Amino acid sequence: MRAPITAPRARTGCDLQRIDDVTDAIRDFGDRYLDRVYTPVEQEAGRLGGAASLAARFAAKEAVLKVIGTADGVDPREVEIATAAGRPVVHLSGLAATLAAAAGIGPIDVSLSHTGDCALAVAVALTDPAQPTEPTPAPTTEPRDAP
Amino acid sequence: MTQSVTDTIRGLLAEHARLGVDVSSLSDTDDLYGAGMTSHASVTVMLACEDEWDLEFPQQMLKKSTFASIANIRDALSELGVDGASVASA
Repeated sequence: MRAPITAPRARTGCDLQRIDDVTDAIRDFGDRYLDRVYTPVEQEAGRLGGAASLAARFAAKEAVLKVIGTADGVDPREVEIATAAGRPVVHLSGLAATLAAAAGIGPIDVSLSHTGDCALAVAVALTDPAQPTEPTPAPTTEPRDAP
Repeated sequence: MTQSVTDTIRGLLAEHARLGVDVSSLSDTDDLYGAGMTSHASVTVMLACEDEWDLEFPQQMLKKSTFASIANIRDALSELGVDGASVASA
């Protein structure tokens, strides 16, 4: 009998955000929009990179929340997309951090990109095998994909 | 005649929700996400509601379900004390 699979499992999340929507939100709501959605670190990135940078960070927040598995009750600022050595870095706080820990999710990596119209983010993390979030499938003696 | 809370919500959705369909074609219980509203648009709808009724949605109401339909938004506004937002007066 095989031992239970204990290797970490990967979780991914992705999101796409129209840059014009962020531009319009800044126009319509100004600092209220910025202060409700973005941390000071993220707003500084937006000051330098404009709406495209903020759109990428919003997409990254959503991608991270997809990895965590829920956004309910999470303040957008609890998922901060900072920058270190030229790479985006995820900092979780508050309920977002609590939910990620409860789900056994390790450090989350993100990648950002954008064109003239849209920003894209992908988030990846490994889950702690000691806290499985999905039932382990029963082992099979003859995998269907076996040659 | 004073505009009802539901009518005002529909107006705010038309302006901010970026739906793929005309708001007037939606019932109060239709799924706004199914009609094309994105997470980002739900944030701007929330801010528009806050401006309209001079209130602030608390963190525990920052849920996808809060903005999932016109009826849900109305219920949230009722919970926040907006006059005329309860179902009986909508």
